Amino acid sequence: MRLTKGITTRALATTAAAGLATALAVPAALAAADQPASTPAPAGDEVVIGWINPLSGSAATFGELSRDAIEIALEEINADGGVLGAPLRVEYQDNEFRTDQSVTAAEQLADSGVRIIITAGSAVVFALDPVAERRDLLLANVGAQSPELVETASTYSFIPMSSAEVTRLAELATERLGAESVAIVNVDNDYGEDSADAFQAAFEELGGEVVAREIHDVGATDMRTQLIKVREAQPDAVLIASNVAEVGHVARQARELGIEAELLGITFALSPDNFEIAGDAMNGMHGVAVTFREDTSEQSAAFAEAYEAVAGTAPTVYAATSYDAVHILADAIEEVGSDDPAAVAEYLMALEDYPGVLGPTTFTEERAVDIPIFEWAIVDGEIEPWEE
Amino acid sequence: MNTLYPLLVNGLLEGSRIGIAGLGFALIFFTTRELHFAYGAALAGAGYLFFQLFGRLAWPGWLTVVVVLAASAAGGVAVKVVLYRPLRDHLAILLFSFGLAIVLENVYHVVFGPSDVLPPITFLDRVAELPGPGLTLVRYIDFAGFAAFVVATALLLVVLERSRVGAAIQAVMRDEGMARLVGIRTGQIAVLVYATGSLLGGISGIVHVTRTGVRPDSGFEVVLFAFIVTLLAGGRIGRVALWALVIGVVRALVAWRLPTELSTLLVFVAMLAYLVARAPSPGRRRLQARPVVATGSPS
Amino acid sequence: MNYALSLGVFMAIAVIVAMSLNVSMGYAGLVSIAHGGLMGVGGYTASVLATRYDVPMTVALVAGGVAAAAVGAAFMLAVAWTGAFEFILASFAFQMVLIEGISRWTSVTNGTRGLSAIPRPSLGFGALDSLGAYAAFVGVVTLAAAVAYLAVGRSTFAIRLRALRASVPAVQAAGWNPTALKVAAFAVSAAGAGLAGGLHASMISFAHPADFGLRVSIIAVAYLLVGGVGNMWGAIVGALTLMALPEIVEATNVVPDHLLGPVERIIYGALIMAMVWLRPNGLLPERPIVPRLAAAAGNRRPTVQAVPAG
Repeated sequence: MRLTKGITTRALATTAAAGLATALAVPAALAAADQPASTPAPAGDEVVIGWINPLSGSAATFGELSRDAIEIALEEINADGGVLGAPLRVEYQDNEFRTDQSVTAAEQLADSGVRIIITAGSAVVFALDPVAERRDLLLANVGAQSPELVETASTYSFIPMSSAEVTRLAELATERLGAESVAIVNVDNDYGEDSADAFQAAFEELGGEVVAREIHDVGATDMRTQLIKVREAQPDAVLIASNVAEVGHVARQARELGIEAELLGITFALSPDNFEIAGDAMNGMHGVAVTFREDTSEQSAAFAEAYEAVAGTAPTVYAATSYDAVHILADAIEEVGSDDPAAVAEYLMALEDYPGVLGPTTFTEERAVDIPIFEWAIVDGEIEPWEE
Repeated sequence: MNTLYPLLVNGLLEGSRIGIAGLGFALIFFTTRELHFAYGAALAGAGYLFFQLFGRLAWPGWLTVVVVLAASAAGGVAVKVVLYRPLRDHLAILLFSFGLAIVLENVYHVVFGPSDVLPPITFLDRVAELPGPGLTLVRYIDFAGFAAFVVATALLLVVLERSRVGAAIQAVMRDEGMARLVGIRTGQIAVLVYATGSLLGGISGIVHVTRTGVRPDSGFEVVLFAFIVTLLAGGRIGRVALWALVIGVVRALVAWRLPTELSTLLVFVAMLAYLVARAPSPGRRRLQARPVVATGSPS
Repeated sequence: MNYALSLGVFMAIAVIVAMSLNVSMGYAGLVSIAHGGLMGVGGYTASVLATRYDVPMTVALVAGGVAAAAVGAAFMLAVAWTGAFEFILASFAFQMVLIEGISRWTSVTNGTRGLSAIPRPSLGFGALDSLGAYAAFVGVVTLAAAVAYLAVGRSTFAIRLRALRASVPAVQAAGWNPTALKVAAFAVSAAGAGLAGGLHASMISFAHPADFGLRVSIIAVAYLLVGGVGNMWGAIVGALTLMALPEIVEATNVVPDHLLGPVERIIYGALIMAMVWLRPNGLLPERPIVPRLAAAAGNRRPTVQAVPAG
């Protein structure tokens, strides 16, 4: 029977059947084939914590250093008897720093019984928070610093928000550098925008003026156009709120273009990549950072030694946050008797002056940790404390 | 006014960089009608090679440049002769070349890692101040890049207009079938333009790596802009250079008065508007307005 | 199981993307790299309507498809008669304008911060918050889309598009309006892209311009290249193959974790090269439609060989 030109009911039915079969067959086949490669269910009472971060792609370094640090923590925890009488395990999932992969990974982990997931990256955390709420998970953020994260429901940050950093930086720029005007160059994402906004608010409150704001794309390498406009505004100081490598490019090009203003940076500025890109241009930069300092405490020194033995370099702040996070979570689970997100969350909020490798760690009302902020200056290619 | 002049100079420099890449790509396209999309990945490769030899192995600069350019030319010829020749038509070559670009890009990633690599800062990074309003500082190496662009444009135009080989190339550009009938060895001409075009790509790669470093997907954006100026130029090499400079200057002008982040959007809006204006209206279609179909072996 | 389900959803969305592109690129021969941008138009229209204006997601998804179709039609109307290469360039400029536009219109789209908390559709009995329910929904939508697009493939509309691809004067001689055909083809194509964009955004509850960038457009073209340009089943096969590829590579456990991404893409590129070299018409080459119809109707008109793509 002809329904319309070209379609008979038989054709329609055949097509529908074939289509249905295809649509169902592929995921089913994959589900079947998927079993060996998928997350095995926790054995007995074993506690498994999830971890979703980039292990490939442009942000892969972050994932690697986090994982290295976590392995050290796990070794220590499990040598000490593990958690709730069984070894603690972490299930690592690569998200290529993409939000869709992150969501898929979170679903997979939740399926296999994981309740707590370690992750980072503002965009990723924002994407995962609704999933966490839907599936009753706890997100342990070890790297995202966007002040907007305070709006999330299920995220607990083991690294301070950049608003804390930039507020302190605004104070220091006014007091120690006498800066009255600042130009801000930031990366075009939530981290960059929110940090820039927070700095502007703090700086203006102290009586200063933000004379220029320029944005560059994520991963940009040529900011000369923006810097020419910054130069025109003749600021006393230039704040660079960008990612690793981008900070280096901005610093180098700023000096190339004859900008003599003081350069200000926050956490990402201290990454070695920037020094490789900018060389001498980094000298004279001042800033604040949440950073790992070996001399903070005995634990810090021990951690640094262990990390260096494995990774071959000194630990960065993200290695430290990952390490501390796993230890704190292990303590929490042991204390409350399970990995139930609500119970663990309660424990975290009550945490005060925990002796972490980043210093005494306390959780604030905004569900982010409050650890000492390091004030730095770069002299002759070395990171030194910023003296009065 | 104080920013306009330095921004314009910066724009011209950027235009010259688009131009040098565009010249190579256009030479190949105008002569063979082939969109050698892997051109971008190849020039990124030139950048990586430069970094490896000059940056890591500390070869002398002049030697590195010679080797990189020779390798670029040879690479281009190899791709043409071994890979493109057996393919049936231009669309196939574009798509094949696109697959090749993806492969190369990710091989770079595996070998060199995902982040930018930059050769060390040298005397070439020193800046000179240009006379004029505002403060305009340009690195020696940027002058060199601009000079390379000007020289390449001039040389190409002179060779095309004044030499026998140039006349042969122009004949092929105009009508390949006829050129062959007249006795011009179109196969050899194709190899020649691939070699020359790829060499220009090599220069572009060196300029790129010394300016902001190179990363696995550096070639992508370069070849896209090369593609743009090639199509805008409508068959004339001189126009390729002109359009490249125009794009650089337009971006600078846009950035002068408008938020910098809008410049990309506005450039593409302008491009789209230009193409729409140039499109024939439905009532008066050109007979050539047909999708790409096989036109026989490109030789 | 949930992992398989979410993978299934993304595969289904890829199938819709490929099928829709096949109408404009396969049948009408319009090689465009703007499909990602059109997905973005649909995705963001649906997302903004749902989050800011409390429009029910099911309606928003449809609105997304309609918006994309309108935008696509407008574009096509403006550039219908440019030459082949200029058209590719124009589609590229269009793609960039769409994505940059979305990125800069921060007051509506939140720009590069991304738009979060995008709801799932609700059908009578509640929102499809669980993955299983949403997967079933997407499955049904994809099936309906497949039936629709396969039907398009058998229709006289497709015949006219193929005729248009082969010879414009012939189309005019037959009394059909070539411009209207082009615009219609592109609009039908864009509608599917817009729908796919909305489904994607609802799946991950998040929309970001990068999700609809140039790379996505290029991958869409790759689906057709591998599966078969001009063959609707080919489009489905191509999408499923390229989506399954990374999973297969990962499952073999041969490649170290941090190299998985690049190695998968190397295989991707090599696959495109191989297909173009060995099977330029894709896995399932285009087949003539008329002989089938002619046979079915018992007609004895001479069969017309459809012009092979490319």
